[in-house]
Parts: sequence; C-alpha cells; structure tokens
Amino acid sequence: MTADVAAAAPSQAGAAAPVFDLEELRQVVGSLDENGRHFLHQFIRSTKPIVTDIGKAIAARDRERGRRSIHTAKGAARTIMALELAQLFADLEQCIMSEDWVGAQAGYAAIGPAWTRAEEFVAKV
Amino acid sequence: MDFLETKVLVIEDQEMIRDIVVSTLRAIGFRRIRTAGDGQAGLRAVMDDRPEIILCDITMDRMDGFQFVEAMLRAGYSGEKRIPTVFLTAHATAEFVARAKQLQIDSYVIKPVKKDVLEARIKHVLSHRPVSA
Repeated sequence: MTADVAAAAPSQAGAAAPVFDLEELRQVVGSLDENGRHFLHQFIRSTKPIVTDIGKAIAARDRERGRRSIHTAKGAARTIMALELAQLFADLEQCIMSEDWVGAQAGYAAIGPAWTRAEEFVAKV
Repeated sequence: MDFLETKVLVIEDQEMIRDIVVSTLRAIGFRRIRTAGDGQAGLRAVMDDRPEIILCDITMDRMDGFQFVEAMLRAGYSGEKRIPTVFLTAHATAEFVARAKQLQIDSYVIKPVKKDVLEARIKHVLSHRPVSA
C-alpha cells in the first residue's frame, strides 16, 4: 500500500471518524500488502448491494429487512475498519430499530457521501 | 503450540469476515481449515469430519450460534465428546455472556477479530481441552 493512499485515510469532509483506520486494519488482516488490498476491495464489492437493500428497506418501512441488512453492513464495516461508515451504520441501525423512518432517511442520505469516500479510497489502493 | 494438523471449523455467514478469519488462521499456522455459512452447514461439517476446535459467529440466519451449539449437544457432542467452541461476537452483552456460560462455551472473541487476540484464545482453549476428546 502506498504512502499516498495511507495519507488519504482521514475523511476529507471533516467527519469525526477516518474513512479507514489502516493501523487497526493491519492488526486484523496481518499486513497491508496484497492481502489487505484484497479485503478492502472485497468490502466494497460485497457491501454495495447491501447498502442498496438498506435503502429499499427504509423506503418500504420494513424493520426486519432493514435490521438484517444494517447488521450485515455494520459488521463488515467494523471488520475492515471503515470507521466512518461503521459509525453511520450504527446510527442508522438505531433509527431502524426504533422505526424512526424520518431519521432513517436522513441517516441513509448521510451514508451516500461516506460510501463515495470509501470507494475512492479503495480505488487508489 | 503447532497448529499444522489441528482441524478447525469456522462458521460465519458473512463471506468477507469468514475469509478474513481464515486468512488470520493461516497466519497463525492452521492449515486444516473448514468453513460453513450458517449453523446448519456447520453441524453437517462437524458430523462429516469432527474438528478439534470451532470458531462460531452468533447472529446468522437459519441457525444462529447458540442454536448450533444446542444442536451439537443434542447430537451427542457433549461431555468428553464436546468440541471446544469459541464464539465470535460483536457485543458481549450480559445476556450473551449468561447464555454462553449456560452452554459452557469455552471462550469468545469480540469482532473485529485481531490475530494476536484470536491466537491467544485458541491456545488457551486447546490447552484446556478434555484429554479424551
């Protein structure tokens, strides 16, 4: 992983949590070589459809579907140390669990830019 | 402790997390690694080729981690035949700890699973396993 990519880790939008915490990720995957890159790309590839499903669940006000999808997305984000997304997923989970659908729509809207930052970060890896 | 010949079963429904745990186990030194995507598949894997240790997620569709352990006990993997099991969980709530204790779960690791933590837990659990297991 290049120094340029590592330096890009903090969120450029000034959010509290970094896009990815690479030092923590190193403790999970062992090293940030090919193995680390593979898992970062796998995260984007496998989580994107889940994020789409969360939006559908919120639109349909389907608590159970939303709960399952957000749990999966949050677990994946925490595992890969996508801290900004993990925090947003956790906040959104609270809204879905309490069936606060207005809050859930706002929370889901906040995920869009964060997801783009994560994709841009991983694309450089 | 040498893990080259130790059979380990990983039960986790999220592919990426499963792959990371497998990668971590390889880094620790395991080579005989089998995986399952839920408790039902895990139970089939246990009956097919008894592992020496199981790493198991909690929240899974079809059959969750607790149901998996209960099914194993019903299938006769209890007492001296019990297989050491480590739960992988996002939160160690009081309810979780009480239920895990009731089922005599050997240990648990908070996700995300870090190599040093997992290795220490596995070594501890395997060094305390029943002699005639």
